[in-house]
Amino acid sequence: MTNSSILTLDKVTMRFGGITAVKDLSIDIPKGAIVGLIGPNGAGKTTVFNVITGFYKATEGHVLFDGRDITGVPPHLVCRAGISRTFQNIRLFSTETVLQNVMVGCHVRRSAKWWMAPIGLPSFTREEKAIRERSMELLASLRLDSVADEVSSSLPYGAQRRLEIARALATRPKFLLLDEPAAGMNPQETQELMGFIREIRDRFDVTILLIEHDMKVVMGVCEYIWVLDYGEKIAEGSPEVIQSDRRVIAAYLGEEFVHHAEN
Amino acid sequence: MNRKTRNLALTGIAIALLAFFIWWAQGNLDGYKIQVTNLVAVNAILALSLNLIYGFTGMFSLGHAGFMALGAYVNALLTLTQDQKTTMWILDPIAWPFSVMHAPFFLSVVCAGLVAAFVALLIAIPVLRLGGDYLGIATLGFAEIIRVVLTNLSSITNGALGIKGIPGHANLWWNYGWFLITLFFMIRLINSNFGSVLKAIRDDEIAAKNMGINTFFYKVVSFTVGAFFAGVGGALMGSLTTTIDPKMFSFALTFNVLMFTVAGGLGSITGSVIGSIVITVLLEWLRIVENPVTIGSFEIPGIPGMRMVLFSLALILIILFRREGIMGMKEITWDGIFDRSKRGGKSE
Ligand SMILES: Nc1ncnc2c1ncn2[C@@H]1O[C@H](COP(=O)(O)OP(=O)(O)O)[C@@H](O)[C@H]1O
Ligand SMILES: [Mg+2]
Repeated sequence: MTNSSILTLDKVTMRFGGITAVKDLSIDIPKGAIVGLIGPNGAGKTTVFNVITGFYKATEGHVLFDGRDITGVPPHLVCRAGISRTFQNIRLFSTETVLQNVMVGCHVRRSAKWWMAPIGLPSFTREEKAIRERSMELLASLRLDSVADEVSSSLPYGAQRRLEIARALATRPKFLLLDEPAAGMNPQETQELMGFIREIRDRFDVTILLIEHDMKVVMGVCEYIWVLDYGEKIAEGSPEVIQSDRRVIAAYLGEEFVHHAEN
Repeated sequence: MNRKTRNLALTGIAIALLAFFIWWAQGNLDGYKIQVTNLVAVNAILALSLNLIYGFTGMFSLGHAGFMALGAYVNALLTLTQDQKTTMWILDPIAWPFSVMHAPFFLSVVCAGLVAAFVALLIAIPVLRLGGDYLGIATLGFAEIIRVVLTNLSSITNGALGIKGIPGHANLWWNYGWFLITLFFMIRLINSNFGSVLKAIRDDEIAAKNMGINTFFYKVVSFTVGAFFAGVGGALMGSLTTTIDPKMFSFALTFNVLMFTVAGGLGSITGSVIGSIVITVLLEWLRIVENPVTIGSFEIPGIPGMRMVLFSLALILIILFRREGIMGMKEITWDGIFDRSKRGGKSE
């Protein structure tokens, strides 16, 4: 681990009534890294994202972002602080065009106020134009510029996932969370996605935390991985370490496969 | 000539044509037709205002009659003369300062809108904090409360007797002037990125929050601005009919506005305008069925209330066969008309 971390979970516990979805989880994510959070279905991964982005308030523990305690900060302010995410079940603004979706992402960094729109102040018009241009650039970098005027719900699945990433980048995040970005993609799209993820980190200078079931993606792009099972961290380390970890294999495939793997 | 200049010119021509039509109508149409034409403009303002709240921001609100009532009463109090007020208030003498306040018509309509907007703000802040589906019920209750208050606050409103002889300033020029202001406001707002933000809240509030949008703030703004124009519409309607009373602002009025908006298309500005024209004219035309009809030697007696039955039937048919309304979420734009080849042209 490097010296400066962008996000720290400090003994985070998230309970829903009787269920403990995340239990006493501490992780430390270094600035500029691409890291992964894996685990079987229902392990609590998405819940971790919801705690970080302010949709859930941690029952116990703290979330520190860039040295600031953001535990319990509402989602729109978490975004303003510099965290953005995509969703496991794609959540686009389905009636709006591809371009409008990304432009909505630019909203959080703009200075004009809503009442300037009907009046049409020059400063408003200028900003509006700048937002449009920046959004087109973002679309181009995710190869979506050719469908900018299509309604977002009409895009194929893989393109919708890329659009969600473009929209998240429009908020100018320092930290980007991707929830199963390769889900539903074909092998070629998945291959491209891996390229995009690295490219995005370098071009936009973001730290990326991703949840993913496709082990090719996880092992291919992540520098460091945390493994959750039943809300608890059962392992962490580099891809090589995780791949040969007994508890990880047991959690994913069942105890009987451990011997198999060891032989 | 680039697109922007062309569209500006086309808009100019359209407004000039509308002005010409109004000038012509004043000299050539009978009083009844002029009244219907006036109603079209006022209804379009109301439909646009509800579309902002419900169609574009996705908040189901049933309070329009309440905001219209506020607008109509404020305008009445500001345009009646002091003499009119002192003679008309029979139940209770009119209270100061309502007895003396007065404003020119334009200012009076603006005040009507502002009062409606202010009250909307007071409702929106607590109710929208609750989030979810409480708005429909809360606004419905609000509109009823307004009616009760108007009936009982007789030292200001003249109670159940209502107000008569409101100066009929709201002629075609004023109504269509306000209609154009509303239309212009809506087009500018909805076509801007702020319009996209409202639609984002409607489409997926969670994703909108995640994009850094203070959804509570924008819902309050949308609701308040919508109420402003509802107040304006109410003021014009009161001035148009010259008589108002609390009974006039019942749920049926909200229902009518809802119908203009839904029939035109939720989330379509052009839809609200077309919906208002079609339904206003249809409602008037349906009056025929309430008059006795003679076919040959048969005489069919008129049935009072029949037009609302037919109207409701028409609405059921719309909901069954064209739920998205006449326009759906589509718009008619200059670009859409003139550059059919280029798809998805931005309106501006
Ligand atoms: N809002 C909620 N209310 C109740 N239980 C929840 C809620 N969100 C998540 N859970 C529970 O937390 C557990 C972890 O879910 P989740 O984080 O979605 O898992 P993963 O993303 O790893 O598949 C599940 O048992 C799920 O039912
Ligand atoms: Mg999940």
